[in-house]
Amino acid sequence: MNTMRLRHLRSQFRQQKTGVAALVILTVFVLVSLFAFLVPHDPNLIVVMERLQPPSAQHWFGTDDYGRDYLARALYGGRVSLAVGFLSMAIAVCVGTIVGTASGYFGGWVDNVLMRIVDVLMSIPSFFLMLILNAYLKPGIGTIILIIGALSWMNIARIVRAEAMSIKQREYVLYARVSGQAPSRIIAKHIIPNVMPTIIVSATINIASAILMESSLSFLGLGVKQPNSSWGSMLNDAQGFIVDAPYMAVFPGLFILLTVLSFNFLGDVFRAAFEPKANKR
Amino acid sequence: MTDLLNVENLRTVFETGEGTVQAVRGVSFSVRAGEVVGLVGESGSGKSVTARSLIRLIQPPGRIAAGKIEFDGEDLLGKTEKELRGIRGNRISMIFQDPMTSLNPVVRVGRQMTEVIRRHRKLGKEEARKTAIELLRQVGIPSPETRIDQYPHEFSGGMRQRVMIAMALSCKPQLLIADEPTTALDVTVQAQILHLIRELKDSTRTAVLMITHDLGVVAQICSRVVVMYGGLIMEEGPVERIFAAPRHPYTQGLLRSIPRPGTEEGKQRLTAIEGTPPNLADPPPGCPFRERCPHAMEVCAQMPHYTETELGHRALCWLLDNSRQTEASAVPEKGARV
Amino acid sequence: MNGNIGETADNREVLLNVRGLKKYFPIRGDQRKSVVKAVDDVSFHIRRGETFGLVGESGCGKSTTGRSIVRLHDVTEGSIEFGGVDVARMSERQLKPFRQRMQAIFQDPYSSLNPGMNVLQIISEPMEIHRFGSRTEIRERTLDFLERVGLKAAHAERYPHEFSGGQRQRIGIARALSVNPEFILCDEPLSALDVSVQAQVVNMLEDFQAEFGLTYLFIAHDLSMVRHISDRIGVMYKGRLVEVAPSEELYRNPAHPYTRALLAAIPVPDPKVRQGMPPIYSESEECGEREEWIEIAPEHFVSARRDRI
Repeated sequence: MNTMRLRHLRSQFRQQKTGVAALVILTVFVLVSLFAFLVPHDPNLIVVMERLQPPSAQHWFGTDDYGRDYLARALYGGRVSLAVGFLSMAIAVCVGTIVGTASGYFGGWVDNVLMRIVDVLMSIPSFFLMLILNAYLKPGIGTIILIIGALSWMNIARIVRAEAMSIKQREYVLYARVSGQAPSRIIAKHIIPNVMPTIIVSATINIASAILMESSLSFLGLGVKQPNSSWGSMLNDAQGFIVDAPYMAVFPGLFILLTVLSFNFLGDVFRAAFEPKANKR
Repeated sequence: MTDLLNVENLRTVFETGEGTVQAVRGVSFSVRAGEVVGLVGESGSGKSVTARSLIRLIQPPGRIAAGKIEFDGEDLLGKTEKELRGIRGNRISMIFQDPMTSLNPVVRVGRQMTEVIRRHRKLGKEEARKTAIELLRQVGIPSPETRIDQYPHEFSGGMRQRVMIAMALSCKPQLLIADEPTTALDVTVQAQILHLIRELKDSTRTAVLMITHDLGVVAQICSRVVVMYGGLIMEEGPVERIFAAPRHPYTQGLLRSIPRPGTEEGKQRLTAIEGTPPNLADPPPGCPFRERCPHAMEVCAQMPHYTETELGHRALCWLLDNSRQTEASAVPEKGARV
Repeated sequence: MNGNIGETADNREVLLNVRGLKKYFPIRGDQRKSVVKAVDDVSFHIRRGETFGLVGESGCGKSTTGRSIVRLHDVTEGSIEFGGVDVARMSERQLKPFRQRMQAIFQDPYSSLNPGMNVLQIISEPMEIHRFGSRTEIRERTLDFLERVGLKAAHAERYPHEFSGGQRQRIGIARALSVNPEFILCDEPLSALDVSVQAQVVNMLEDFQAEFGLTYLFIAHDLSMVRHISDRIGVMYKGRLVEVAPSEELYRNPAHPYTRALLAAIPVPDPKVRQGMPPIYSESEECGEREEWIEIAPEHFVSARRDRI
């Protein structure tokens, strides 16, 4: 990323206040879930006497149906949700970038084969596939991350492919070919750095959808297993108490909403900053 | 002959993140009825912004900061947007560089033409269509009766530019502003389009403001030339005088930097103007050409005056200024008229 | 006069010899497997130290010809002998040594430099590929070439967007020269530049040609600049070469009707010479199939029917 792009990014943040808010919210969430151990409660300590207590000075977010401190659970749950989001995004970005650049740069039969694979994968509803895979694989956070990552790279691959095809025509790539540079180095030095803005934009959107997907899986009871928590599994647990303890649904729901919205806003800021028209000449 | 278009001290600026870019810094010139004026300059000289300012096609962050634009006795800058629409495309038409993007690709050529014709002239559908066919024939499109029902992509680049010219002429404008109309075209097509513009000027008495960077085009089609550099007019005069006896060092350099085919020693080294044009976000004080000028003097750090060297021929340069002429010349801010 | 040109030129060794070059592009999605004949049976040669201009209008195949010669395309048919070796069918691995000897400069100074790399990285790239010594040696050579093209060592850390179009084209020239090439493909290097900057670049190309004994294939649509810079010129029309001649001879005695139409269309930068309507060349006048390659004057070849000459 060079100085010009950073300058565009800064001016976009100055113009779009929602972008700043999104950045602040996400930073707070990441920091808070990293330092979750500072909360003086054990997220998994069951205190039957204190079950379903509404928010109070001692339990800021109240307690759940097992009497566990809800704040601590929400923070540790945030760790899981954010980790799933970031790691599965990382997998999707890596696979999507490799497939997309290879497809776009080489074209021909490479492109044909790779894009048909993408078509096939995209034609199967991925949520359905996830449910099936989940049934056969060992449940756990690692599995969830792998499955979500493996099933969400196709969009990135398509976008990257289109971008790579246009960059391939630029004269600096033609020059690199004329000067005898190997395709692998052309892709690494000339294609990928210039597709990067596009990748960053799709990555932010991808995190958001990964977090949502994990929540949905957990909500259906297929994701994180007790006693561990994620925002999605907390929502699932809150179902039974929606009348007695509405706060149990409100907190994780709100966090999911804020995180997903923030990533989407961030994506908008990146897109505006990297838009080729905005920084052309 | 009276002036059809009179521009005085036009200033157009663009507010950007890096500061205010002064694209046009006080430009004054005029176009008389039925003449072809060439507005010449390199990229960033302000020639295109000047042209667009004339019909107020400047979009934010750009704005016309000062000046007066008088067209046929009317003040264009004082008009409302609605009043302007009645003038644009009707009494003043404009054609652009890229005929590929000037036409709507999903609408038949005939419909695009009749829409323009009917917007400005009270004509029925059938009459408008007949007018459109007649116009296409006039600009040299073969079998216009069938061509009129085709889509833009069925026309070649040159043919599309002809369609644009036909549309621009459909309302018999008094002034045609042509912004690099042949730059995107092949040289043989360019020759045909230039020939067409010259013929139309003779038959319709439409005045043409030709914006170009090609001195060959200027020599072939213009009767007067306005040379711009760094947002200012450097020199203005009749085309024969500009080519035979350019007075400004910039014009002289420009003419020397093109190969002259007539010369027997065709392999003579070109005389390039060294350096690059000034940054108009932070223009240097004084003459904008100072840093590239072979004759630069200390006094050039101050803005020179226009000096009229002969009738209708003026240049913005200290070299032409001697004490006797100082009183006679005016500062550019006041818009020295000739 | 004509004889003179032929004699002096004959002494030089032929560096590039293109014979029967064809480049067909398949039309996508076409069931009948039809092709676009972008370059159709083109033959010419360029001597060492010479500048060969290739002119024609958009879509005539001049750029495809140039790009086939530096093997950006796989050629359909024909041979491209460079220094006596046919490179037309070589694999990328076999081509590697030739990639150093044949370099290229492109048209758009805005897209010919990677926006994410600084000038030092851009210019040193081909030297790294062809192992021009250690990091510091390459760095020194880069700075040397930066100064040769009229830029300063201080510019090395800057990025392309900080330069004007003319400066970027100079960076492209420095990059091409840095690996000591023998041949440079100049693919419309002037068309995106301003008039006053074009002359700077042309002078620079001529100076380097004199200094390093470079051979240029100069592709352009601006015929007056081509005439100025070229020793010999080839005129292309619809994928075919219709005429080849020493440049002054071509401008003085154009033989092919298309060449005549093309030359008549150049606007003369002299208001005293007002040109009329240029002749329009339509293909039906000539029948490409029955044309032969005829030498009508020393070094002056034209594609024509023998019965018409």
